[in-house]
Amino acid sequence: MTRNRQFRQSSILFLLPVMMIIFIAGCQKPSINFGTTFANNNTTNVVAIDTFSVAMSTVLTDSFATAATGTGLLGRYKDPYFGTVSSRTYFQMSAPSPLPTISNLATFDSISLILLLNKSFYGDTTQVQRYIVSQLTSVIQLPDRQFTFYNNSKVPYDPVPLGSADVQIDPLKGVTSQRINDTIKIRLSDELGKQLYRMLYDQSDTLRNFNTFLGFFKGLTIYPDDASSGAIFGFKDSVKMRVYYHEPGIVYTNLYTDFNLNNKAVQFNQISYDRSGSPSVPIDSLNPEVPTTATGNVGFIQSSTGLSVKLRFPTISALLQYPDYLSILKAELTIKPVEGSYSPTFALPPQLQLSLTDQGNLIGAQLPVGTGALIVDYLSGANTSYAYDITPYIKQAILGGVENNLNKGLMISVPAPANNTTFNRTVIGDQFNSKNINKVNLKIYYASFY
Amino acid sequence: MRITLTIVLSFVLLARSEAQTNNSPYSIIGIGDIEDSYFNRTSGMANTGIAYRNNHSLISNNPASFSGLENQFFMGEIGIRGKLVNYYGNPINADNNTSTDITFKRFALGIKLTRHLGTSVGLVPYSSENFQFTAPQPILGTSGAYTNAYSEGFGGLNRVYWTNAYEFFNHLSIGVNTSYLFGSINQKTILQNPNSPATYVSTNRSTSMGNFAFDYGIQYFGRVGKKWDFTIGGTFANQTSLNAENHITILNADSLTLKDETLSEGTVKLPRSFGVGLSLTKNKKYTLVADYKYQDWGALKVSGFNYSLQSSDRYSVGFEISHKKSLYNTVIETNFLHAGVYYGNSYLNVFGQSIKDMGATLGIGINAKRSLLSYNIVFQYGIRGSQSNNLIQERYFNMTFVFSYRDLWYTRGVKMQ
Repeated sequence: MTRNRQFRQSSILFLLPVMMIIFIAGCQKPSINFGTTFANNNTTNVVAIDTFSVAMSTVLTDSFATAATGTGLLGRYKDPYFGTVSSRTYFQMSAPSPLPTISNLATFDSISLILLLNKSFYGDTTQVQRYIVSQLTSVIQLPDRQFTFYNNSKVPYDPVPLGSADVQIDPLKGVTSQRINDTIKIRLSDELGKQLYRMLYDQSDTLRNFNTFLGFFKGLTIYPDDASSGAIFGFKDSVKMRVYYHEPGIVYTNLYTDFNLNNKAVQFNQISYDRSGSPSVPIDSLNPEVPTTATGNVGFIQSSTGLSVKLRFPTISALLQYPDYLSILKAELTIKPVEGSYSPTFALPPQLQLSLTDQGNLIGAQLPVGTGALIVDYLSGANTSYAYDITPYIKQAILGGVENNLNKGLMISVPAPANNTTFNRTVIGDQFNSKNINKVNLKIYYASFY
Repeated sequence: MRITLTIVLSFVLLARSEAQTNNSPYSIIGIGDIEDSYFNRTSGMANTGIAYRNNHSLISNNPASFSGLENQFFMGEIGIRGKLVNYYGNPINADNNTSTDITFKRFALGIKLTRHLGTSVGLVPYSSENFQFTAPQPILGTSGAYTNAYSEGFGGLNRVYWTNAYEFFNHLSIGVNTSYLFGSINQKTILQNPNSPATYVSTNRSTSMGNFAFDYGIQYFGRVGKKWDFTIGGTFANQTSLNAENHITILNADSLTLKDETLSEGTVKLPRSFGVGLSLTKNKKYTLVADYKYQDWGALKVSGFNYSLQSSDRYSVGFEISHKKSLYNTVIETNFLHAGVYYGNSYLNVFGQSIKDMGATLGIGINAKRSLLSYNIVFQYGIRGSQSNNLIQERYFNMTFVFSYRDLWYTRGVKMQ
């Protein structure tokens, strides 16, 4: 018996290491592409479908803030799809501080308004345009219950211009026909110049007190003349009104004093448009939402004239009823600018954002899906598109039900800050557009089991 | 106590053996690769043993053999196999064509209950499924767009059995084996974004099977002259249906369940099969064994895309040299040497071509001098499949370890005999 016990113990001791080997045995497993031909019983598939309806309409936002953008927009251009668009800018000036000391020998020469190009532009830059400066007749002030200035805000001004300049601007090279680099100089009336020079020389109290000066010199507006049409240019808001004078002597000295921009917050651009004669004419403040079927199966996006496109997916929740539907994998939205509607002159917005919107067309949160990664293909146009992966939105919309999807949707617009400082626009095709390459496309990939 | 421990450990190991890692490309078909090996003393003789009897080994090749067990002894055996496979053929990347694993394969207990009745219980694999591959799958509704489909198969059928063999007239033994076959084969397919490793959806199809099955064996043995012993044996199993249940689980990328349902219930048929064998022993030392086995898979008329099941056969011969010595009044075996060869058609016919399996085995067994343990190591080299028709050939090298343990069995304190 004793011997037997010993055998028992030794046997278990012998087995243990063997079992350990089994547990720690290393292994490798090559992947062999062999079963492919026999694995035809995989009834789970990925299915792509792009037949869900995409309802599209153009939405007009009547007014949008244009103040304190650091940009003055000035000029006028004519667009075959969006009509004539023009912009003027309003701003206040402040007196130099400290005031210069001008000797009694000095003599006034001239006064000019100096603008610096910010090199943004939209339209035809080969034209000479006339820019007119007028003095405001009221101080730029926010009306009651208003916190900023809008594209349609106005301030009264003296119709008699202070001065004007005819300039052709080449914004890409940063030169103008005035040949003073990227600067535009508009000579103002000597009468105003002499008056200001006199006050400077006298060290007038009007110049010393900020408010008194505003009461005396309420501000300026620059605008294109009615006849000229070319492009809208962007200017930096570091505008100066420069008074030139000289002191005679052994050395003839040219001197100047600058009146600078007073308050960036009240600098704003008034943008106006006249869509008559263009395909976007049905969209106005009386018809702020127009289905694309009423405008030739195209929608219009130009945030700086208030145009956005709203998309709705009214039938999307039917996917839930598909017998083979398991779950949505991916939803790709492709927006196609209409072939021939864009060119280097009428360039597309480099970015378009998607935001949630509702029945009242209020713009909600922006979807975190990027800004469309624009591909421009001027040659054939077929590849020009903005593309978005809107999977999370579609997942939610499917669950939202028909009622929800009839009203709520996505708003396509130009993201800030380009939305009120640039005029890039696009014309996009809806699902019924006559050309396939223009059609908006919602492609849904879902997992299917049958 | 120790037996309990061994049993528990064995089950743990068997459970782990489901996670075997060797890729068996052909196991995608049918119920997987059917295990030909018994992981017992006959493994060194190419698993030839329909007509083999041994008094201290559990020869499950033929249910009738258990009546040959030694009286008064209880025995337990385990089998472990390490396998190295090299794959050849067009679908194989030559830089990555080797796979190895080591798995627990068998657990068996046997006892001679009465002088004529031997019985055994055990757990062995019946078939196993283990493969993986990645292939493009077309996205429906597009022209030429694909997702990545990663597929893997795992699982297999196991068998617990209880065998009884009764000896009549000192020359005839009849055995009945009652087994319960159970297990599941699973195929998991993960559809992936082809451009990133992101999962779209994962589908797990599992077929659970189970049922009782019976097979029968007979052995007739005797002596011719003074030198020769002989045995002839036969086995038979009728067609058996396993109850099968197909279950599908589909998960999305966040592991949320999209579908979890039992698709259908049905049956999976195992074919009628038979085997015949012969053994000749000279001077109780040299033994020659030969087997022929046949499984009538063809009668089940199972076929699929590019494959069909065909009736399988297997021919094998083995040779044993048993070294014995006399101790006191008894003859004790000290060690044995084995060799064997086998050749056969498996139950798979792929692209119109039968998948053949052939190879040779060498084994050595040592019975411990001071204990009742016995160690048996078997080396096997085999070739399965073909490289033509874009098929895959597996050249495998197996090392099988069989450990058996014997001990005296006390029944009610009374020795039999």
